[in-house]
Amino acid sequence: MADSTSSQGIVGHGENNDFDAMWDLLRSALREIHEKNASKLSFEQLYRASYKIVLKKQGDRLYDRVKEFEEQWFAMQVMPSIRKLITNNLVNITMGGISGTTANERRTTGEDFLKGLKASWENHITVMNMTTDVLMYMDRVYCADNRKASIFTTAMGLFRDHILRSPLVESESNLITFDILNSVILDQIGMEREGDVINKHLIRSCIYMLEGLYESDDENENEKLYLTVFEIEFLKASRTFYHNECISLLRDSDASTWLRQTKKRFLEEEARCQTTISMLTSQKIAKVVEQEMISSHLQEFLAMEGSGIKAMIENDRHEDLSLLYQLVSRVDSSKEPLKNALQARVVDLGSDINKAILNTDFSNLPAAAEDGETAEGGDKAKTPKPNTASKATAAAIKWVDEVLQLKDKFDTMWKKCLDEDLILQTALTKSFSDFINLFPRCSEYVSLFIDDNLKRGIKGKTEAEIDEVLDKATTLIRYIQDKDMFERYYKKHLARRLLHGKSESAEVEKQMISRMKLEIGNAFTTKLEGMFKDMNMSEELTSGYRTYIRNLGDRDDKQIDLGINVLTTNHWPMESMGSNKDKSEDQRQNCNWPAEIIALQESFKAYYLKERNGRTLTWSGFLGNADIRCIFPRIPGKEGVLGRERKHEINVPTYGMVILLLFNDLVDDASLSFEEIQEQTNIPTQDLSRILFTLSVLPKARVLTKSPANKEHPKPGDKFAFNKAFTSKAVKIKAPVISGAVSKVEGEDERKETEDRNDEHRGNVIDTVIVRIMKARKELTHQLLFTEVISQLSQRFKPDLGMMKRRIESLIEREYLERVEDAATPTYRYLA
Amino acid sequence: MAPAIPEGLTSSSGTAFDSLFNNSKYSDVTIYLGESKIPFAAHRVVLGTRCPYFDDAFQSGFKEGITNEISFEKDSPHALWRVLRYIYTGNYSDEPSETLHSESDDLELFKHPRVFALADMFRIQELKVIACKKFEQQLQQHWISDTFPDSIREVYSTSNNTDSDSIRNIVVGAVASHKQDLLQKGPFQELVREVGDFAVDLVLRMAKGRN
Repeated sequence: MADSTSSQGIVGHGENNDFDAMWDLLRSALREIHEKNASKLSFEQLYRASYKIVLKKQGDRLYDRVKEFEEQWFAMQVMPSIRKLITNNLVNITMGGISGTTANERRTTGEDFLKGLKASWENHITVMNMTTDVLMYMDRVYCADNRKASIFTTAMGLFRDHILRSPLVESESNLITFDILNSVILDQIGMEREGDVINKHLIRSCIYMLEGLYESDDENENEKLYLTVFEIEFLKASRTFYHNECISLLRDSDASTWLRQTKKRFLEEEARCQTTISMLTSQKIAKVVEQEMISSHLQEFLAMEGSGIKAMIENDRHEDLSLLYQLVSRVDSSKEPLKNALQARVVDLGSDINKAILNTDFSNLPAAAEDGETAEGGDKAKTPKPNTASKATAAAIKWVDEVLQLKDKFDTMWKKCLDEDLILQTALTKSFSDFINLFPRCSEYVSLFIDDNLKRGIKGKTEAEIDEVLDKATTLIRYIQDKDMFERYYKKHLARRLLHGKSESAEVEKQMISRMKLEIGNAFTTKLEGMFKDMNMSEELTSGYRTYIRNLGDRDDKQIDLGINVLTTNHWPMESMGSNKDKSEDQRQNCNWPAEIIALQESFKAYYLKERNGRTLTWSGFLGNADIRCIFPRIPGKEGVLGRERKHEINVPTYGMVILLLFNDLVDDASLSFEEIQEQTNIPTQDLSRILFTLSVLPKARVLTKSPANKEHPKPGDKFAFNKAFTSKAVKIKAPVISGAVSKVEGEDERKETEDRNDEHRGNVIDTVIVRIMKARKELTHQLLFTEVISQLSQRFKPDLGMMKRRIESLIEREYLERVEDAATPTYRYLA
Repeated sequence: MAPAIPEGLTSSSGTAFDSLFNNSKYSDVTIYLGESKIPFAAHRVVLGTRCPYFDDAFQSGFKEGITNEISFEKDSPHALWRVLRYIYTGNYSDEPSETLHSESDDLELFKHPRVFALADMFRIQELKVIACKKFEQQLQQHWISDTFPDSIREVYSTSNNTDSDSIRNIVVGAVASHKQDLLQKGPFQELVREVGDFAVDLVLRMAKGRN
């Protein structure tokens, strides 16, 4: 054994002979493998032959011979049959010419070509896999040592060069097989896009081939022939196709069709990548569709009459809007075009609401006021003014309702169609805020809406329903820019609710406050909370005082039962609670109280100050009311009701009580003139006239007679006397109150006044902020100071630039600030 | 490369097949060893998973995949046996197998080079390392043997210089360590003259040693 084995190792001289013998063996084996007769061949024998050649350092020769063999095989055996499949028709189509055949024939010839190419490729792969197995020792030792591409890689390159890039012999063009392949596949895809059924599997096989072939033997992943050749052509053809499709949709269809067609195309292309071509192209083709079908004509589709974005929003075409959102999101992450279109719609629709309300408002208001002036008939005189007011209030509620409806509409749309997109939410919020703030009365209306709900609206509603109302109110508050104006109105309305006991639920009031606290901040709600605190404190005071009086022992039938509200001056909007426009504090304070009342006031004051030394109590006659027991004596000589003594308990405003008490001291049938009453009571003229109207003109509680006896508002010169002949079926009568208790829309004058007051307040706030900033910064340019002030105030209101300038001037005058001379830009300095 | 420990070496995948070694149970292929075609009952799953060569031989559509037979007439049956032993158990022994009693075993200094050559042809990297280790140990005592020059001849004709840890290094190393004794011998001088690759390797090694 040793002999035979050792002789095997001797390197003989007949190396060439050895090589030729072994190559002969291998070559015939290669032929057999190509002809699918491998099962006759011994793997062991062939492997050993190539092993020996390599051991004897003849690897290079073997490698080259195998290559040569493959090249010859392609030229002699493979290409001729493929060329046969390339018909003139296919060449024509590839050249961009028109084929003279039907689509069906075209498809069949195309498929035949693909099948032929596919078969030769698959054969090649099978053969080369077997060849590689046999030549593996060469690959591992020779190729690795000499940095040569493996024989398999080389053979793939040969297929690329000798089949795909083989020129068409009979054609005068420069066409190669690859051109035909691209053209056929694109033609088939084109047919599928038109709705035909094609052999996807066949195309997929050819695509696999292109994915397995590379530009060079380095087999760089980015240089797959699929990417470097086919995909480029595919994307180019697709771009043209979608470009044309979009133009024809623009010409012949509506936005709705366009949306659906585009979506369908996305799905088709995605499916095509999965089943027909390669997932490598998925994003790129999507990009092409995005650019051609969406971006290029988006504005035109959005603007389409009757189907564009306006119509979609108007008619709640949620499906269209969802599609639109999806498509726009694909091409623009900021969704700019959609955002702009939505914003424009919100502002348009919102302005419509504003306009409609302003129009109704102005057409109704003066007419109603006139009614009030001229209403003469006794029963009709049932307060035409509140009627006017309630109409105006209805307008406010209507405005709020419509705004909320619009908000609901867009909210629903946002949830259903816009994927709760944050960018769009911000944009919508901004647009809502824009048109709401364009409406001059937004603060007042929103506060009225809340007022209305807290008074009546929430009656009989469930907690969830109330929550919903509060949510809506909160949403609206969020939009309002001038929070200070809103606060002013809210305080005014709240004061009325509290003092007149109109609030439906203290609990809901508190909820509303805490919501505003979250939404706007502590500073906003402190005073409101103070108002509630005062109310609670007052209740304790009232019952404490009662106990105190009872314990004094000397029970007096004439003792007046006192219910009191002690209001902290700063918390309550005194100006807007007063019953007239008199601003002078003196007049109001100096109402002359009757002796009984003064005694009562002193008694309470003594009780109140026992534990609260140093406080000042001011009695506000324009607020509150009193129950007065009146006795109407029997009128001699009269029968029936008038023939008996009548007792009534009449509830009148505090001023009413002061006036009526004057008549207690009067001799029978004597009268008092308007001037006399005013002189004795010091009640402001307008309040006096109003209260006398209640007591001497309106029938319900006409306990005084007026001379002259007409329906006009009492004025100086009129005389008043005790109406002995007063009758009423009710024992307890509530004198009709003309105004005060009802929160209504302000008239133009009132409104102007509110704004003035607000501006005055703003001026002070701006002063404070400027001084605070300058104190900290010492020196600041005009520009920076303005920016800083605006940002600090943004939570409360948007300051007027003119006002800010005036405030600065005033601060300079008052020597808080000075201008820095010779500064490049206008600059201010703080003066300590 | 895992260090090869000649005795008690275990290879997780190898030991599992110990009991199948030349066991006709489950056997689905037969390997014929040497000119006398001594049959060896083998298993596709073991051969195919442990050795790329057999994987190709039985899976590529050639005759062997159909007949389930493969014969190695030109190779030493003992060397083949040792390779199979390694494939099934992860190691092989110096002792000849009783199954092959009819065949004389390879000479001592040819045992490992032949295992190495087969391992190289079959592309079993780990076995090449094991054979080298065993050969290196053996040479520590047997470098003086008269068969060493012939052994070197065979090593150089059945290996290539691709592997850095090739068996050629083992040989050159052994010769270099004992160059005073060996290079005086006629057969060695003849060997140097005859096998150019060996001469080059030896000169390079000695030059390196001097530095």
